[in-house]
Amino acid sequence: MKNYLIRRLLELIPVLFAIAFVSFWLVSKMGDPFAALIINPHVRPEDIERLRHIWHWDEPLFIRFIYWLKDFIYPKAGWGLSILAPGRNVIEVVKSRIPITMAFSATSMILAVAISIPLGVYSALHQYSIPDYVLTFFAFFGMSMPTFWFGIMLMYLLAVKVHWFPAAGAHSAFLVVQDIPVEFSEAPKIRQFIDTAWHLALPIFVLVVFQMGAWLRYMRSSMLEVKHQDYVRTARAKGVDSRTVTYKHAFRNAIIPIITLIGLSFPGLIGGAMITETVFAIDGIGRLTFKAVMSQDVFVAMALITIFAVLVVLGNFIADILYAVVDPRIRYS
Amino acid sequence: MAKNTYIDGGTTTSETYSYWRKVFQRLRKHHLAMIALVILGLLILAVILAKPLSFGNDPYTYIKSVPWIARPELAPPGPGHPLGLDNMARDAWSRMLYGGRVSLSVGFICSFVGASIGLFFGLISGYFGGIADMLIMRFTDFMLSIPVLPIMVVLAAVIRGSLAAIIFIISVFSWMGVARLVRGEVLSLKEQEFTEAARAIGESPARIMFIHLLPNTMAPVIVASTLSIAGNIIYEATLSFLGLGIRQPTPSWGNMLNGAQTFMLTAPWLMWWPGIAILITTLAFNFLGDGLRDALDPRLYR
Repeated sequence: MKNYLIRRLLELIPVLFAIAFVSFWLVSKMGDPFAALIINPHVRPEDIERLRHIWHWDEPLFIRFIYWLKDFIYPKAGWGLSILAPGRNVIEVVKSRIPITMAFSATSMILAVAISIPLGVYSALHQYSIPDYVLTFFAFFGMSMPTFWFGIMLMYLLAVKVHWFPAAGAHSAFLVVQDIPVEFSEAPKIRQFIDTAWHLALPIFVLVVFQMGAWLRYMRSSMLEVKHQDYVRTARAKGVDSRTVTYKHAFRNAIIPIITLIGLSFPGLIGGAMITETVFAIDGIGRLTFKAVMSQDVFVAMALITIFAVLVVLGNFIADILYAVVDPRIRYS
Repeated sequence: MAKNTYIDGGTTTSETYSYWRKVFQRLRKHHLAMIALVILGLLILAVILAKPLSFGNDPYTYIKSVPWIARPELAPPGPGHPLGLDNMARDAWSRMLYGGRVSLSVGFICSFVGASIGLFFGLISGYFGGIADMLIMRFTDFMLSIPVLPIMVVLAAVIRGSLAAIIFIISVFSWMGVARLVRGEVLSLKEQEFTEAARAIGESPARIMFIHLLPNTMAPVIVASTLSIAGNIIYEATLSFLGLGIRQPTPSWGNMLNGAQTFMLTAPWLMWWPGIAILITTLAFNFLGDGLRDALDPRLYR
């Protein structure tokens, strides 16, 4: 097992290297990261040349990439310059935006899985009942819905038409504490949390519905498959209590493939976060990616895409490992 | 059942015919899939007949004035313009119809290209095995490890513009599932007698792959492609919504929503219909794909 783990981890390195290089090549096709400095009157042309030289931008693509990768792994120059946030390096810009994305994508994922598992089991146990049809339809609805449009519609109906939720942003600029408006960062922590949760409710809801579609379908078909297995029938024939059969024999086996799928859902979650953040103007790394691409902020885009690639590759890896762990028929060879 | 035995001396025509007829009979029992099929038929008919259905409006013409409101830009619905005018005073209904042409074609073409690439790689990988298999599967894994949407956005920003570029960008990421499916099928099919018989009479690998194996892998490929049309339509709409997909003045359901957030307060009706059109289309393709899966593989418990 240990050898298998190490071998699989080592296999990830060339994949990540290849993805990073292909993205680096594509991202540098977007534009010159130093071009934006030319119009800045405070920057002399020789300074731009110097920067280009420091970042090895005067060398061939592959050499340039190796230097960039070295800095990405052992950050000395902070992953490069940002155009969107002049004067700050990329690491700072990215770091400050990770918590909000983490918070709301993790919440949405946990909620989606936690709601889908019982509902999927219910659907499978009551196959072809009215609730099963309703849940199936809802699952298809979640899978078919264009996330961005769903977000816009919710924003229009629940934030613009009736003011139940704020329309955009991750938190208010000011909070009223004991009739005195104070800046968000100076308000009590609990008020900050409530305000952020209230702002993130709609985007989280969008992501939950989007993810639930797939989870409901997976859970339902996994449970249906297990329900018809011989060992379940044997348990019933032996006279084991029906509840025990369902929840001990069937459910425990049905949940296994679902758990392994969590790792594979990362790319969808990244895409979903990118769109919801853009629609709801939440300053996380998803919106930052889009803004970086639109303003040809090469170093920022590059860092973010590499981070996403690491997440996706790790997700695949976790799925593989979990699958091997929970299914003894898979040999580690 | 017994009707389809091999009395006709080995020709498979009647056999294949009744296979697909059986599939269709099973599909007909799947009510949602049948409704989806009818809706898709109507949608395709509507976008083909875009010209006669658009009440003499042209999707590219800027309308100078409308009688019921002072400014034609963002005019609300009125006689002759059932969905109003967009921010550049173009008829929204005719843009919906012509936009549907673009969105549906992108969905179909990308799935077709994706399925073709996937079939090709899957057949070669499964049939030859060895180094070819290893290389192709490694490449497939590599493609599956790419964070799709961020890379699509970067690609779209680099090769901006034409319809062909969008089709290319989406197709590049829609073949991996089919390749894996086909490879799996071929691995088991190539051990069966009919492949061995074909090899024994000296048929070339290409002939075995494309004449004998390919038709036998079609069922899961059809299901996967039908489902992927829905995904591809959403990808196109998302890219166009972000302003990186189909470019103005060509309409698509996605780029009609591009400015939707800006006009949310002044012209909310503009953002309803393109989104509903996308939702209905993707729902229909998903239901149809699901029904096809049940019809093609009745052993599944669903």
